[in-house]
Amino acid sequence: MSKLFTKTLLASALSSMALAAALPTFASSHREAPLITETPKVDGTDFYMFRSYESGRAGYVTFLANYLPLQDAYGGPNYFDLKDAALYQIHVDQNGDGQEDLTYSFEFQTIVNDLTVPVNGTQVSVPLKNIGGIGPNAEDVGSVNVRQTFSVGVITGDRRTGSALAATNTTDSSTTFAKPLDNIGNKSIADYATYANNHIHPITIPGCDTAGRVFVGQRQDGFAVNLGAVFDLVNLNPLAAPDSVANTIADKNVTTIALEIPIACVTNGSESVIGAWTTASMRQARVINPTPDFDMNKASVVEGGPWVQVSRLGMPLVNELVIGLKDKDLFNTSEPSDDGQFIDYVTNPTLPELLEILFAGVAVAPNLFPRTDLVTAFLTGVEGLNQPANIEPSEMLRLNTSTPPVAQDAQENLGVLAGDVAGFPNGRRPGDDVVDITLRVAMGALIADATVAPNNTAPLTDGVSVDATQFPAAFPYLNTALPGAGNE
Amino acid sequence: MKYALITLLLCTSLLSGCGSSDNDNDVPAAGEPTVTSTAFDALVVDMIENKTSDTAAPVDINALTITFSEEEGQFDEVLDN
Repeated sequence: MSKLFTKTLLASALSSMALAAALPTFASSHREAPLITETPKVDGTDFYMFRSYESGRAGYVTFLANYLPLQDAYGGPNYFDLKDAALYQIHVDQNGDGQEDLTYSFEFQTIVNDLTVPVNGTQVSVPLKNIGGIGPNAEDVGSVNVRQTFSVGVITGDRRTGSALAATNTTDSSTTFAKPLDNIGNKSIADYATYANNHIHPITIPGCDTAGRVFVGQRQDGFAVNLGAVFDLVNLNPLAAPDSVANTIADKNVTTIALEIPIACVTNGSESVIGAWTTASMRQARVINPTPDFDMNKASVVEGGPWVQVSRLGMPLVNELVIGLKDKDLFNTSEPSDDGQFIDYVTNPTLPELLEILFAGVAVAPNLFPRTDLVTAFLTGVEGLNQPANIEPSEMLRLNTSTPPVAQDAQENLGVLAGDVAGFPNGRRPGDDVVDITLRVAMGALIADATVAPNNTAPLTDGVSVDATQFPAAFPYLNTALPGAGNE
Repeated sequence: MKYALITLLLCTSLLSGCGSSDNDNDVPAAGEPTVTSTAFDALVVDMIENKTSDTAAPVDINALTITFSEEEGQFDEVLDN
């Protein structure tokens, strides 16, 4: 089918839409590839990296890696634990070569207490996660039936074969950190915000003189999007006010891995720009046990074999909007140093062409090939802003750690496009409206010549607004998880 | 007989524990792509028992022709451990 015919067909099919100039929006990385929809516990949804803007913490970099998308807070009785037999990792490239130099590796362990109650003289195991109130302290686990703890490994060099050391809890030198239960409701956890904050741990990183902070637990999803309409052939009006549409996923939680590290411990001392991305990996083989037996320590599944990466996330929206459907699973298994295999998706992107098809006569795709502007945005960083001195093109989130952080109330949600150089794409903060930014860049915001990119100054928006004032200005920066019950 | 056939199939693979692999399946003719016939159950059992490691590279299953059996109890070895 010719491109012209395809455009005509689609334009005709959409002609009944009253939206004179509708343009699209997207989901960050929630269920973005076919395979990952089968394993939501290892589905990375959003990745943030920024100079800490909490008062007194400007000397730190904060990483937030969100997993397990679209959690309904009432999803009991099991709620949303992370996966035990998995690696959740945050990788840092310190010299621009596209390969990790540092990896922070999180592994989880589920602790089942098998609480029982007497029933007519017999102690019988209960079916719930808790049988009484929980918190406010992390140590208050007496009525908790199932909980998780985690460890943090710090790997120097290759993430699989490099030198690995365990980070420790600065408070007690333990290598185990407590993770809060999800926000079941206010009868189980009366003050969830305090309970969750009591799981922010000081962390001692091997080789780092100053302690950082770590938290893993449920938070309200910070991403904002009109999700259903987007995938209904962009069935919305993006030329309305930027806050004209309700955030579809405002009632969802995610699980956040939050880590704050001193700048000096995450850079190599000579290059101020770092690149980072998060991945999750599972064991390659899995056998379902037809007769799990808790008393005999026979698990429901047996997993083994080498680690296989199944989720990858650096810059937002890449696997949603840039990578073709047939290669989405491959992208999730890939490493930045191998991104040459995906180069056509960046130099010859389909998104602008699809927009032109869907909104014929309104949206005009930039006529610039290869799209060197997108190579800059996605693969190298912007020279003078967040491009390392020696750069190997590869997709990851890049942050110039020498850029001072901007206080919460002074942040611009369009980041660098609005003159706030501490914002996206120089790292990413929770309040950065990456949907609007990415949309504008895709349609040519970085191309000065309007004859090449007719939409280069269009104030494109998805209609769902997000900004820094919607979030706490303190670690872990994302809002407290929504409750499953009570607190309405 | 069926058990014997499965055992034979397992031992034609290149998986560890089956001794040397002199089977013709493992020696492609000149110019042919390298394809190894591997029983799925043996592949899985070998991964779990012999390749569970934090440093090992994943097994490239694109290079394998995987065969399947309906025999019951194929994974008892890993489930019983």
